[in-house]
Amino acid sequence: MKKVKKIFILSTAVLSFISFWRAASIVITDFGSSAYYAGGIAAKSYGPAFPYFIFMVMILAGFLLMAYVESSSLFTRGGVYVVVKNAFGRTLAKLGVSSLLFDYLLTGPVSAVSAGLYIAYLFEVILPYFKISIELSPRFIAVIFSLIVIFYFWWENIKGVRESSSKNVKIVVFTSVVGFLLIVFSLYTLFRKGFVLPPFQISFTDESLGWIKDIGLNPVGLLGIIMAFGQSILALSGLETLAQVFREIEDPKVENLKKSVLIIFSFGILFTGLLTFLSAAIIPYDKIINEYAENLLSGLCMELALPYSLKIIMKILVVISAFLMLVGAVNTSILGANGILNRVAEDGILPDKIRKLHPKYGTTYIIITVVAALQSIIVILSGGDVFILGEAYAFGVLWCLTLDVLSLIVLRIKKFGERKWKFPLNINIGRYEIPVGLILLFLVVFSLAFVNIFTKKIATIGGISFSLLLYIIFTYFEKKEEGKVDIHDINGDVEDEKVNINTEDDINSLFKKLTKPNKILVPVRNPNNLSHLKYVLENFNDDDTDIVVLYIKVEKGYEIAFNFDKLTSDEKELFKNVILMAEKYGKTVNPVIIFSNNPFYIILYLAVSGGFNRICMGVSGSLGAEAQLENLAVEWGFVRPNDFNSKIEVNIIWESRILSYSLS
Amino acid sequence: MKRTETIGLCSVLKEKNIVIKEGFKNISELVDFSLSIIYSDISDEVFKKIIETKKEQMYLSTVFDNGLFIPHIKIDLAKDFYASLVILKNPLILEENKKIHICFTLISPLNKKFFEKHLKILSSVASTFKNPDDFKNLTPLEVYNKITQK
Repeated sequence: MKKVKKIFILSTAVLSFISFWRAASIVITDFGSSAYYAGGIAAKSYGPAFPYFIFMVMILAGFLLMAYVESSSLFTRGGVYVVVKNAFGRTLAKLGVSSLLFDYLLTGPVSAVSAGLYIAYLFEVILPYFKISIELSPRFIAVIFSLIVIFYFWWENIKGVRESSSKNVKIVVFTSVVGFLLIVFSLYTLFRKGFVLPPFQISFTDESLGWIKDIGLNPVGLLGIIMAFGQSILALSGLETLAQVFREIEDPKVENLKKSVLIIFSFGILFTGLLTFLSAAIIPYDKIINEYAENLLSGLCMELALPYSLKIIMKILVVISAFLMLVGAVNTSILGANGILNRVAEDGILPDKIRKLHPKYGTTYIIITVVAALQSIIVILSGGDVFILGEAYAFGVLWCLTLDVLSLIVLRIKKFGERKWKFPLNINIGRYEIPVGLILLFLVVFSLAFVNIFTKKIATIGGISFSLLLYIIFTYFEKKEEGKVDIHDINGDVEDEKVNINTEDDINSLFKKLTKPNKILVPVRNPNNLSHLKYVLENFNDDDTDIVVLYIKVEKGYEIAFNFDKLTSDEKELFKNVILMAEKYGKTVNPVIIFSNNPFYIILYLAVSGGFNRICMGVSGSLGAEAQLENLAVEWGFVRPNDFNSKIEVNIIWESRILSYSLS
Repeated sequence: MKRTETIGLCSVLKEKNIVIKEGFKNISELVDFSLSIIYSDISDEVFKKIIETKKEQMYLSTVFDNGLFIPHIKIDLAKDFYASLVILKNPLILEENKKIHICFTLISPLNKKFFEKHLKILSSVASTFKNPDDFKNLTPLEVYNKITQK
């Protein structure tokens, strides 16, 4: 065999995709975490009817998850910002993102403080057994604990350590087991003590009435129900995570997303909804308010008709699950805020300087630090009072969801894009389709958001101030950055790919990672000519096929740049398009860059040494398909080992045509 | 999908079309000479068409790093494959320090059903002349025999 030319593998950013179950578990660690605090805060806010409203919020979450399925089927990289931007433009999108950020900044503190409170109350029960006494209030412990947790995840995110989805699966499985035990023991307790439905009684505190009291409205009837419903929205967190995780879901994406949604919804109903309901049915309302409002599920354990030791064991299990879920939600909030701020910085509405990468870890450390610092300040200001945090929360979530659903309606009217799934209840009148289901959903979330303006003072003042401040900052920098960044880039929704630059020592270290029975090599060159990659993603299953997308950077000499930044904008565009296409189909590809001065030779050399059984190429504009095959045929004569007894199918694909040849 | 098998070059290359020569000034002179070897095998009509329309294309064929040069064309009037082999005693030196040691000229029919064989022949040429030095000091008969053994 001809002497191998010098080969460099610059980057192997393996794009892998996750199952619907893993995707669901990521969302659940955020969405399900509110089960630990929402019931207690709601009970204190408007009285004994809280379990009904938490249940209603879970049902509403189901409909909203369905709306997210529709928006995700429109935009692989969706989320509120992209959906609103496409429906209404950048101004409303900026407002939506600003309010969403307000909630991301609150989700971390509310989750961390809640976890701290669960732990502090556990200490109160357990430490006396060991003759240890702590003279610190649970809220103080919660503050200290929260600051430690935020610091921990700040540092993890600075280092770029991403929690694996398998960890999420374990947490959700453990929590589900704890939840199942709680449900079983609760039903047993109700069987022993007798079951009485919690009263549907709404009695607002002065704080939860907000400005309604000043306006002089009587919070009864429909208004009272909407107000209580609105106060319970804090149980609704993590839906935006679903939009962010969609890009990582494996093929078939929309079908798998629907399965994820079903799992998330079931978890919400059973864990958050049912456990809150059982807590209200078992624990006397006064006791909830006076003893367990800050740790409702721990309180449920202590009220079960079980021996005391078993109650303590259950309490410990609940605290462990609360710790895992709530702490996970803190990380998600830092990640989410970082992701959104990155997105807007890329879109030219924040200075690109804030995306400066950490010199060692390559993470956007300025954004991460700002987010963690703001969360720490919020924790300190709250003094560990989860009710204040709960009172402030939900402004952004509701307005974001309102904008999101409204945008979906507008996009339907605009007949924007192709949807693989539509939110149900659509009526066709002539050429027009009226999305009745989405309109009804919009009316519900809008009425909740509107009424919450008047009832949740802290949320309204904090949310509006913060959102406006952020909006002004966004607008200021948008004007300032204009001209520097192509803010009207049609691909503005898509972030610059942060490709992991793993320089392999030699080609064999890449091949060791390819363990599937079939291997396809897909050389790429032109960012606008990836029909051959599309063909591969449509026709081959990545369960049994390794797909290596190969970009050969033609270098004449051996002065080779190892810096990804030195790739041209076309080359970056190429990789971005490859990754977007892989995301769209939810199939794993292995993008590789190799420097060489002889592309055909390298393609065949890799195909032979890597045991590939297929090469799929796009047609070359300068050569044409036949000349490409001629070049390959000649190089095959040079490369083919004497003992080669296999065959490699070569497909040259363009438009709807395929020219094939078999190398053997 | 048809399976490719190695193809013997002798099926397209006659012994009389193997020439050992030197003293070419440039690629065009070399290609013209290699075509002249084939001239007796093909009709005037085909030859005329090559000269008029395809010769320039042949000049532009790739010279490989090992010194192998394969000017090749597909032509609709051709009913069969025609080939010549010129082994240069002293290499023809080109720009960027490229050298031609062996020139294998191939004329193939422009027809879908012959395309696969055309590709196989190209592979066989590259495989056979991977090391041009092996043919440097051989007579045309010895070259033919060596190719036959492959």
